[in-house]
Amino acid sequence: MDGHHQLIGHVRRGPRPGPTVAALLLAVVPLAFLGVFFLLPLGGMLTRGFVPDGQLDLGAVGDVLGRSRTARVVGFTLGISTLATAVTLALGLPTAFALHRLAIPGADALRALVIMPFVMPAVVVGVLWRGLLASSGPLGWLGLDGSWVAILLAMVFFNVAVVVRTVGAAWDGLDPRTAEAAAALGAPPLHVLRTVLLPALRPAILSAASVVFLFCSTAFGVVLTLGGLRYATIETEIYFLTTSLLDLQGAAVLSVLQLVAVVALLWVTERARRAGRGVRRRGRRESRRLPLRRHHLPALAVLGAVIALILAPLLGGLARSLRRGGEWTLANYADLALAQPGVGVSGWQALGTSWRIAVDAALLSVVLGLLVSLAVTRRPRSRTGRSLLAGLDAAFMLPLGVSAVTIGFGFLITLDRPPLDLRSSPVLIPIAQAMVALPLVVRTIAPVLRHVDPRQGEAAATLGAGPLRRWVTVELPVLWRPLLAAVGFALAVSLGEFGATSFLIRPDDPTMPVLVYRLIGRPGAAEQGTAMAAAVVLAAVTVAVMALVERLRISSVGAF
Amino acid sequence: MGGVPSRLAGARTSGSGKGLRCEDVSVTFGELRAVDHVDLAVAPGEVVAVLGPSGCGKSTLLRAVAGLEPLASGRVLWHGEDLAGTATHRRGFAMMFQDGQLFGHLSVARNVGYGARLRGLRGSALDAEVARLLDLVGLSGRGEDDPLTLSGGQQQRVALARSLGAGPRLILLDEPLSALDRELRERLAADLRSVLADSGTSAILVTHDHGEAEVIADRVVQMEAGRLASTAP
Repeated sequence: MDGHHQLIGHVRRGPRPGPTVAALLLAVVPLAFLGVFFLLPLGGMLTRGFVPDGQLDLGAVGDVLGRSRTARVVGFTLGISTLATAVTLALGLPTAFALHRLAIPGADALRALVIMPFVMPAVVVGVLWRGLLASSGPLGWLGLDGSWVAILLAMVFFNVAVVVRTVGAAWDGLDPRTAEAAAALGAPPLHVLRTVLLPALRPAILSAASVVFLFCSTAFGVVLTLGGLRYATIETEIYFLTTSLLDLQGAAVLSVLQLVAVVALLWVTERARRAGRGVRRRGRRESRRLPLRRHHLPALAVLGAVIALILAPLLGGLARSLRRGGEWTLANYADLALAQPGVGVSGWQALGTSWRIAVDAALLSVVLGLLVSLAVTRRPRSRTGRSLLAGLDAAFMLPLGVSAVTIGFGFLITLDRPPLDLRSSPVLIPIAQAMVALPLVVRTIAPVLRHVDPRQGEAAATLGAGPLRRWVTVELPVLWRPLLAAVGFALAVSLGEFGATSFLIRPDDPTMPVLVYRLIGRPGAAEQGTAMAAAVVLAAVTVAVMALVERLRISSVGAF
Repeated sequence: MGGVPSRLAGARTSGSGKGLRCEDVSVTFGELRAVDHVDLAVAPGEVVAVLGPSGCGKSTLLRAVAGLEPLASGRVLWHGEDLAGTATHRRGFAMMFQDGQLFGHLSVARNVGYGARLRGLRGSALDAEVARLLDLVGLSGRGEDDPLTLSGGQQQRVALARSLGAGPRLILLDEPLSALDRELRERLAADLRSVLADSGTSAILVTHDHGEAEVIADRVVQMEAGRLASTAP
């Protein structure tokens, strides 16, 4: 009896530090950042709203929610986001099919074109669409300027990339033989689509839809530039309440409402995704693309429409930037070198500021994102360990769902006194932007690590390799490309970040998106034209960065 | 405090056993008992085949021996020493996987020399060792190839050379030939037999193919539903 107990004790002797412990060690620094630069500002913002005089005051909740304007804003946010998500899916799914399954000449270039809008700065996109739809613009006769249709178009423009990327990558990953088997059993193509392909793609479609809805319902720059005062979403309303009315209670209530809705949405989608059955994935081999047939015409027509939708504002904005006083001219671009009235810096100086901040933000977010990715991709054996890592993963997705405006304002009110008096510090903006980019960086790196076959590490272990050597052999070689891609991705996101930056930036040293927004709000034709030129330049820079990223062929960039 | 007497107890019960000894080994996945109180011994230089249908727990047993699965009960001993606290990479049990699990970004030579490098071999000594191993599996001169461009049979030869190159006390062969076609399987089985005999390494072979087990192993044990059924000579 005694011996038996000793035997069991002996078997369990010396628990070695497992994957869970390693994950927690890796996550220490990112967690500290998340705590100080996300939860603390968020908490500060909420405290201001709910505990205004040192006492919990929830009276404001009913008050704010009862306002007719709040109901209108929430209704508009839900309505436009639902509609935009539906339209984006309707256009995105056929586009994903056309670009990932059909043998279309130049498909690589078209795929790159479709992905570009995703990283374009929201303010820039808004300004470009205005250039196209304004009464003086090429499509001015449609009378869409300042209407909700303009907001809808811009949202679809942005998010088609998410659907094409996410669903396209999943489609590439399917074993074509499953569909072939169904066809061989006598199923016509549409039946194969309904019974085999759509169920297999369901998780990807669901997560794309939820992310698109998320991006639409938290859209800020686009609504701010295209919606004017007539249309407001929760996000622009938070901005309006905070900056114009100083109604912090109202802003806090809306922030919490948004956060709760976003967390609920992410939770529901994750459950729906998990409910999907496993479908065969194929290996690394490229599957053959289908030759074009007559019945592919509808998909090709949708692809054409999507390309037109993407090119229209780009070309329209470009055309608008080349005109002043009814003539074709480069004057708007020449003016980028001039100090702008009321701002004090030139367009090129603002671009330099943007670039410097973006480089710092990208490096920071990639270092943090790498640590997080390494942590959440450890493979604990115990259920507790796995839930812990899932929780960790979810925690670092939170910045995706919280209004950047809330974060920006939270920074202002919590990090302005000792021990952390950073208000005038130049590190504040890169840190805020890094927090915004962090979820996207993790989403780029972690899938690549998850893809590594755990038996590779086991093989190395049985050959005598210790933990560090195993990591160097198995994971390090696959990391450098997603790392580079993540740097570019984070750089592009930071270059266009507006929500948080607009709170933190010094008025006399604006970033490019802030400059564009300020210029577009001014009445003069010269300022409007310069704003358009600045928007085109910033769009070109982010697109150039993403084009380099695209060459790395990391399919997880922009996929969810 | 409990550790010392139990270690003595362990030495008393199995001190005589040379080579590998599994005593009362069980592995569970939740409710499922994949390996169910198994006893198995492999003498130095002996090749033992564990034969059974898929899902009978034979691969799990192999992984437990390698230290890749935690034991729910029992012990794995080498020369009478309990390996419970010994990490996989310190056991000296090289595992050869069904699909090779070659490192795709390393050349054939780097794959084969992986274990030798870890033992500190460098320069011409390492080159000579790699050449010897490649020669052993009939792939001389293919060192600079990309392993993923090789045929399935060649990949498994590289995997075998890589396992031998770690200088293991015991080789664990997990269905090493089942991904190959029949003709190749028969030829490679004979090669495997002679390579293992020449190197004098102990081995456990896990397979569902009776003929393969007969050709390669000195002794065949049957496994069914997590238990070793009977021992045939």
